[in-house]
Amino acid sequence: MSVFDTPLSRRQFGLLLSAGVAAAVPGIVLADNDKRTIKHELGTTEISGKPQRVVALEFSFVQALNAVDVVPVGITDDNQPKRIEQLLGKKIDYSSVGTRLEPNLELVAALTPDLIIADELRHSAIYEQLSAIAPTIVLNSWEGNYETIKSSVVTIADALGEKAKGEQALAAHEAVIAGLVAKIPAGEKRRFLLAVANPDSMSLHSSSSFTGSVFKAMGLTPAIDSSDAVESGAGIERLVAVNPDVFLVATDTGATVFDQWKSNAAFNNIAAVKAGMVFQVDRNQFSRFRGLTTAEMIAREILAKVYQAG
Amino acid sequence: MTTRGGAATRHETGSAALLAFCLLLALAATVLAGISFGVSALPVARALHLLFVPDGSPDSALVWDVRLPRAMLATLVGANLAVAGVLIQTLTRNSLASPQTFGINAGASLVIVISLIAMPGLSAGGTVWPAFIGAAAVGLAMWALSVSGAMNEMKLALAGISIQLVLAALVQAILIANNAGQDIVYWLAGSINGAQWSKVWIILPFTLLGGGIALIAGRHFGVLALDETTGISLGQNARRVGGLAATLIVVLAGSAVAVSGPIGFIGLLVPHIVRRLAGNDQLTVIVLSAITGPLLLTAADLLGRVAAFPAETPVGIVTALIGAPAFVAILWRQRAK
Repeated sequence: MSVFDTPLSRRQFGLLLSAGVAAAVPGIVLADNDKRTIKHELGTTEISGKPQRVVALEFSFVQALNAVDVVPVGITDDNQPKRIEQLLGKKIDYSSVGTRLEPNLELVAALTPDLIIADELRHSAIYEQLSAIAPTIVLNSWEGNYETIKSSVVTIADALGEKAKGEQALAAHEAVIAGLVAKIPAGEKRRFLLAVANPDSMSLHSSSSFTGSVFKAMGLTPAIDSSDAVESGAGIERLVAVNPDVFLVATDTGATVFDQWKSNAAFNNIAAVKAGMVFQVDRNQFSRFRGLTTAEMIAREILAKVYQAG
Repeated sequence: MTTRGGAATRHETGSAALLAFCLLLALAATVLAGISFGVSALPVARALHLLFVPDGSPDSALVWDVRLPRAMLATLVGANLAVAGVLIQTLTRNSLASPQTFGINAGASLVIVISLIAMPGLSAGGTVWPAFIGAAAVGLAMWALSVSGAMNEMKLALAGISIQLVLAALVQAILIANNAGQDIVYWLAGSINGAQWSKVWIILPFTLLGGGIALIAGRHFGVLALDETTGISLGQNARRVGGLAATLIVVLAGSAVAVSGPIGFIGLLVPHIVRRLAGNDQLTVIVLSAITGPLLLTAADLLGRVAAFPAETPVGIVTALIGAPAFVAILWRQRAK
């Protein structure tokens, strides 16, 4: 077995190679001196130059990369390339590196990345292995609220050596959101709830979830105020107790309890159901993706559905 | 001798009837508690009133469309699992047998999970047939192992648990490979949280049919419990009775898994509890198990709703927490014998 069989030595080989190239091209040597220390959830990581081969292990990172015009070489796309297309609104060229829950480290290493962006909840356990492949930064995406996702965009841009571009993207986004929020009638007091419908129960998203915090940023009131982002396994009983005034139900293509509950008398007593304020929304957009454009999309959809305003 | 035997039987029948009555009362009390208690609690008197005089109020809708179907579902699933447990213990002459320990629940779960992922639009009713297929496949394998006589009671139970572990691992593998599978973790733990009248209607025919046939054929199953040679000498077609019992086990356990996920320990423990209370008469054991199973499951469901209030603990986790020590106790007693 040669030493080049392990990802680590392959990376070292790559570094040696790039060092050789760098020595030959003065411009890159200059870039190499441009070292940045990126603070993230698991400490700090030194990054030099402008990483070009980025692997993103969560959807929100892909959207953040897109905001600064970087196309990742590898994405944990859950083996569903259509989702990436929906996430960015366009087709991009990348390789799948498995599922977000279980990234395939062999595939990640094979892409010889120069930056890996991982999720705190799902990938902290493999931080060492990821760091052995390439400089890795760990951010909170899975449980990230709107503020966290916004600051992640700047962190990711900084890691790419494009901090100014990231801040620009964020400023442009905040202008868009402000424009949309202005269309919401003043004095909105109704309580909003987003729930993901599963085959046997619903998962309720609270004020600290991504969508819940987007509601708050829009001046709306989330129906559940909690530091736990998601309350799973909720039945009709719990929904009746929460009693939202506006109820967004996120569904996939499969059969869910939402279809069954529509004919349930207790469900029909919920304020939102009585008021005709129940809206079916896309689960990818409202629950799986988190990002600047996703937040804009959520705001637009609420304006269109709840206020008939564009 | 004959008269004394007769007197003893009459006495036992009398005490069994009394026992059945007490168990039914306990079941009714648990169901009523289940209907009163919830995220928004109702006074028992009001719940009872609404049960008989629904008034169209939100509370009434809660009682009639959420809590009553849930109690009914717990009752039917409990009865199915308990009766299937009695039958499988009789059929295999193995006191460690149950739909769970013999891997039948896991077989049903695996085929349901595969079907749900292959056909995301599958409704709750559509999962019944996959459940039967999975339950039947594992049931057949276990029955073959059991009649081959190559294994003693303990080894057979271990073989069953091994099959269950393999099937559970396969389910895990599918869930990891397919993120959509994450959505059914509650169902997989064994839960009646999503109870609906529609689910009650799915399982009810199988409970009535399976339970009814088990009652009618109860005496024959009793003979089966002795051993095959004695059964044949008594003029019973052991193979046919065995086949009937096996079909009933698959139908009862499979339909239960389809509506509530794989709930363990009810099928294992209830026959033991009942035999301790009322002796070994097969018909009595079936009848009392059909009451004790629902009692145990509704009580466990109530506990699951209180334990982490207002969040709910899936009932399958509660039965496992109660059932596992009880299972060890059974093993211990057998070892002592």
